[in-house]
Amino acid sequence: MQHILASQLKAFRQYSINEQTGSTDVSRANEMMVNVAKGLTTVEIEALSQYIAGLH
Amino acid sequence: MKKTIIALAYILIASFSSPIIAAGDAEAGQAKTATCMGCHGLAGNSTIPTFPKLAGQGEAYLIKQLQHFKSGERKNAMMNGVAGMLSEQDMMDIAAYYSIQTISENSANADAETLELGRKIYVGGKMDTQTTACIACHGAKGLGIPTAGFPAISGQHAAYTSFTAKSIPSIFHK
Repeated sequence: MQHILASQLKAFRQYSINEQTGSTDVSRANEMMVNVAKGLTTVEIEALSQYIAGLH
Repeated sequence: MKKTIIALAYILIASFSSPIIAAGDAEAGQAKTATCMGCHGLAGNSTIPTFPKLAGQGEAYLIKQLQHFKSGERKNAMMNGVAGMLSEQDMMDIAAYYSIQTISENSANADAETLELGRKIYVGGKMDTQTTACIACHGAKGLGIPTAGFPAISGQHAAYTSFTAKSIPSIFHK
């Protein structure tokens, strides 16, 4: 259990570092997704993410 | 219109492309997910919003991502290390296991206006910026197109989806 928590903590820290430093995930930058995301504001991305979270 | 045609052509080409032939063993895969569980949760249902749920994700998509993490094409310090220790068979087994799990539902966390804005973009895209609708590649229920390698996105944590979209370099980091 302890190693699972430690693993989560490490990953969360990495996520935070990525977010703060602007590190990017290059494989996500495919042409299609770049075009889609380019046209969306931060508010729209948040709204879309909330909609997708409830989609089943 | 032009972007819609390009999107449809993209889907068509991807649909006819040879998908990764997965020959994973889900049972063996389950035994190999002890490390994954720490972040991705039991049966691939992460309880931490910033870590993606993997349950129900397309097998071919999962294998491809693990290969990209291993090669370094996709960058994430944690996942580069984890995937680096996996063989091709491990990847196929793990992907087989997660692909047959059921994704958990999320509790509602947004108001009706926000959800409607999200729905409109998902279904119809945006005319003014010629943004292609998500539904084109991810389907009406967000299940993706497994044979084309397009990921399932329904039920994913909003924080993860949002972060992923925002991390696309050309928008925020150029």
